[in-house]
Amino acid sequence: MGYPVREGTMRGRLALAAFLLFSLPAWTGQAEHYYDVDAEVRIEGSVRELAFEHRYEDRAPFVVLAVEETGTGQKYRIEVGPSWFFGKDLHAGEKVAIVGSLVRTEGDTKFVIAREVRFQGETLIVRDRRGFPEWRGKGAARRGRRKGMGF
Amino acid sequence: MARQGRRPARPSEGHGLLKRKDLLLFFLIPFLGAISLILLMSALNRAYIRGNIDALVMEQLGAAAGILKAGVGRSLEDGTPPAQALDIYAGEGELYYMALLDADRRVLAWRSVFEGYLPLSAQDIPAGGSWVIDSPAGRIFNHFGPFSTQDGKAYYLYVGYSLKAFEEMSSRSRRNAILVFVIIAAAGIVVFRGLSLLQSGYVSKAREADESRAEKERFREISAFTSGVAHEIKNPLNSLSLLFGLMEKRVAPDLREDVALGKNEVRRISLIVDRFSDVLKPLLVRPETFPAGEAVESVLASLASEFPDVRDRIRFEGDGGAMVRADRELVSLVLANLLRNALEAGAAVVIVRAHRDRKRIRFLVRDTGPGIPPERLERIFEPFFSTKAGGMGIGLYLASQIIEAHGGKIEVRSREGEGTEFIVQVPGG
Repeated sequence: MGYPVREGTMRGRLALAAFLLFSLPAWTGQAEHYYDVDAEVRIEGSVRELAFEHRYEDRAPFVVLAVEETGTGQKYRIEVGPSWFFGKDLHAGEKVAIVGSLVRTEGDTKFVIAREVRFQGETLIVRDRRGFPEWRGKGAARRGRRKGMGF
Repeated sequence: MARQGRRPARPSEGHGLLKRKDLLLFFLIPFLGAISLILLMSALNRAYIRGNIDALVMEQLGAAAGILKAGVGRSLEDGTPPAQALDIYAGEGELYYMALLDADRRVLAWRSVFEGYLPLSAQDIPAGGSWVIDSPAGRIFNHFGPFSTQDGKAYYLYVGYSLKAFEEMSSRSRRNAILVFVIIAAAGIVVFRGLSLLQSGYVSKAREADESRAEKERFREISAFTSGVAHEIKNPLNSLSLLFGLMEKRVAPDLREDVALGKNEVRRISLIVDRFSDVLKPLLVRPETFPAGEAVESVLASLASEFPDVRDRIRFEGDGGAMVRADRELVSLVLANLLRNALEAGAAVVIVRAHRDRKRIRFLVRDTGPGIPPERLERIFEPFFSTKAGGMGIGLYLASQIIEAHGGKIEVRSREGEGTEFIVQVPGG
């Protein structure tokens, strides 16, 4: 894949993701954020970086996009989902549109958990409208529902 | 092709036959009605139980939430940090998520089985503090309620319990109801099909019986007519026979041959009339026990005058000592008919066999004649049907009647160019 990776090698991360994915579900140690249905935001901007980060204890690394909002220049770190669920090439400079939950602000960067990610003419649905992760429910078999047009 | 001697058809038991509309009215519609009623009752019953279970579940899970509040409260009183207070309940049954909030409803700590999933929204919380949401993981019971610790601090606890187990119970109940319906429907179809087949069978038998009755009636009419004609013919024939007898003695020698010929022809006509009359007479079976070989021998002897080479052409094989229990004269008549037919067909060799087959004696008459075409074989036992030029078509019909009167069976197999085989079964002694 062509996007820059922050930590480790792609192959090792995918192997780890597969191992953790198929282990039994656990009462996960959580990051400091959850999908807040009352705090949804919409962002349009361009990708500055794509990274893999451990967001949840005992879970595979998640794809995290560093996005700069068009017009305002506001920086966001967008948590998308497990890399195996994302399954798409995304390069720096590509235009994206996000619907997600604003969870916190650190300095000049806002942290968002994505629900829908639109890029390259299609929309990846990551969570349902209450924040249930698609990769844990019926969406898991479909590797992320995609819509062709808009939100 | 085998052809059996025809048994007299029994009168059909046609009383009480159901018409198609009766079957629909008295079986199908009530059955469908019963099925619909069962389905309706089952659905209503399940809806009632489901409603009660839902209420019970809500109550029980609400009580469970109360217990959790007390437990978390005690942990907080002991100085346990909020996150650790929640970790105590890690892996608890069907608990999907829980969150501890302060008095201002800010989340202090939370845990969830699903990454980042805590569907707490101010818009969802009803007055009672309990509600159910749908999710890809099934229905989830939610409770949001306040509690306080002993030091007076107020908190809120938000929990989400999976209702999957109850959903599965409901699904199982629905599946069972469908299974019961399918079984009842299948049973109903089988019963209905069986009734339908029974009905078709009765209709078919009734039709056969009607046809048989009509045929018998036709035969009775023919018999009555023929009897009358035969009776009318016999008298003048007797007179003619006497007249020819007298003329034979008195005419000139050169005319005697012609007169003798006339007398023979009159006798022939009389024989023909007698044979027709035999067919019309009711058969009276007088059973006696006799060896099969004796019957065959007596028939051979009677045919010798007609066919001088009968003993060269007919060969008897098998068990001549097999004892037959039947009317000797009638059985001999049958054998004589079969053998005469074979010889008249030009068979060079005719084999006659007799052997015991359990309680019956089987006679087999096989010839090497020209065989019988299939289209004629079908009708071989019909009265007045003959394959011979000048034949009256009575012999085999009479044979089949005689064998049927004994409760036996007569069959024929034949192939053109390969010969014919008759198989006769009569009671054994």
